[in-house]
Parts: sequence; structure tokens; C-alpha cells
Amino acid sequence: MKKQRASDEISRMIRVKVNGGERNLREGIRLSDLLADIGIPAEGTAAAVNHAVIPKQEYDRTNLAEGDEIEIIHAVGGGADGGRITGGRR
Amino acid sequence: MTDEALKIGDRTFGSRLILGTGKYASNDLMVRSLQASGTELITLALRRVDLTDRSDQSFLNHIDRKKYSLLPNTAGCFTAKDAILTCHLAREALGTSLVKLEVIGDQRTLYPNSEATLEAARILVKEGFTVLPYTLDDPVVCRKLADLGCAAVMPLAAPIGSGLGIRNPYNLQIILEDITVPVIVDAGVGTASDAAVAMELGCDGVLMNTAIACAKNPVSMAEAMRKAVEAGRLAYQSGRIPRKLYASASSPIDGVVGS
Repeated sequence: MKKQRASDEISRMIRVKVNGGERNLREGIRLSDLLADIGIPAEGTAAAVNHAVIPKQEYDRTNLAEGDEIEIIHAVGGGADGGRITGGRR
Repeated sequence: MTDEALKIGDRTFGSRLILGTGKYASNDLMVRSLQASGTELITLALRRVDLTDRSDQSFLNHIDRKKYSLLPNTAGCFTAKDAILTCHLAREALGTSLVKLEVIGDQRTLYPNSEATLEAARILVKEGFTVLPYTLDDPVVCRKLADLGCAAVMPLAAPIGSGLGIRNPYNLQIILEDITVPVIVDAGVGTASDAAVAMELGCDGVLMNTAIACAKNPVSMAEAMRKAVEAGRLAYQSGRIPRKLYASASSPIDGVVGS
């Protein structure tokens, strides 16, 4: 009985990538929930799901699904060198 | 002599010096250097939020948005696709369509990939971005970028962070003759005289980061750069004398004692 419940629990989770790292999230979670959970302020940040930028007003209408790749970015000091934002070829 | 402001797209800037915000030893040093430089336009990068260390999430908190316009850049992008996505993220995060487009083609020199830069510029201009591309000092590429509708072209003077100065003033002169949008030297400046040379050639502005941020005293170097850009601009407007091989006396020739 206990085992059954555990597998139910697993089936209600989705596995996604957030800024390159794997995360288990509850099924039905919205982008707005994820950002709130992590503590991302709206000001000065942006998010993309599967390489498409999501406008802020659509965060709470964006449901996350198994395998989604989420990027959350912000501004940092920089001129014209170094680092990368997303996967790409060096 | 009064000078018209630097006009990029539909924006105008009182200062012709554009500053990067990277490599400073501290945010305080950056803020004081920006202040001393007199700049009104600063470039910044976009990076993933560090989800494990949320201790310094406050870069924008150090920037007075009333004083400085933001020029987000695509530094570190190696493909047109990544650069375009970065511009979209920048517009959403910072509410500006002004972008410094960089598509790097080589890790060691950080020279741009001209083909990918042109491809990204074409798309971004169509999407309504005000595009300022970092480019080689290649007159043909610069003309193509301008023809695509870029709001300025930003040829390098030397590799990013190299401090080698204006390595090919003749190419810059050809670009300046050919291009009607602002020409801004982006990268390679090492010290104040380099900035002055760029402005004396007739460039519309200079963008720099390392030369100030990595100077022994960034705040006073920022002041030196402000003065150099102003002096170079004024000299350009004043019209320098032609270069001559032989002397031309400054004192009257008649009435010299003993003649």
C-alpha cells in the first residue's frame, strides 16, 4: 500500500531543466509558481521556456511540462567578453 | 564650440563615451568610474541567475537608471540564434530595444563572426531592435551592417581587452567616409590618447571597458577618458593642420637680429 502511494507521488512530478540543472517539480506547476518558489524578482529578469522568451504577463498562464528547459536570466556587469548565457558552441 | 549630441536611433546622448560595466574590483568602484566618465550609456551582459547562490542579485540596484541608459549586449554568444535569444531576453528583462550585438567567432581573439553578425542584425532590425553591432574594422562588413538598418556600426580598434589602441586608423577613415550612421570604436582602447585618436579621426563615439576597469585607478582613468574623448572631438571639429614634411616658421621671418 505504501509502495503504491510512493509511485503515485512520482507520477505527479515532472522533470525539467532550470538554468541547466535538473529539477523535479510538481505536475501542473506554472512558470509564475516556479519563479516565486526560487524567489526571482520580476524587475530586471526574464525567462525563456524551450528557447522562447515568455512575456511577464504570461507567466501565470505558462504551464511547465516534462522535459521543459527553462532559462532565467538577469543583468550583470559586462563589457564585451567572456561567459555564455545558454548552450552554444564555443 | 558647441557640439551636437550623439544620436543613435531616436535617442540622443550628451556624452560620446560608452562604458562597459564588467571587470571592476567592486560595484562601488564601477559606480564612481561611471560618474567620473560622464557617460550616459552603459553596456551590460545577461547571464543565468545563479540558483544556488542568491547573495548578489543586485547588479541593477547599483545603476541609476535616470542617469544611464542601458545597452544590453550579447557578449559570449557564438551563434546568431543565441544572440537573438539574448536580445529577446534583454528586451523583456530591461524594457529596452537598444542592443549591442556581438557574435563571437573565435575564442582567442574574440573577433566577431561577420556572417553570423549580419544574419542576426538582419533579423533583429526587422523585429524592431535598435542594433549596435560589434564588428571588424572591415569597410565592406560595416557598409552591409549599415545597409541592413543598424543604428550605428562599432568597429573594433584592436582585440577586446587588448589595449593595443587604434591599429588601423586608415580602415576607420574609409569606414567614416562611407557610413552615414554613427561609427563608434568598440574595443581595443588602452589609454586616453587612443580614445583621442579615435575621436580626432572623426569617430562619433568610443566604447570601452577594460581600459578603465583594469586601470590602477579606474576612477581617475575614467576622468582621463572623458577628457580625451572631449578633446579629440573638439580637435576633429576644429580641423587639424595638414601634415608637412618640412618646417614652417611660427615667428615672423622679417627683422631677425643680425640679418
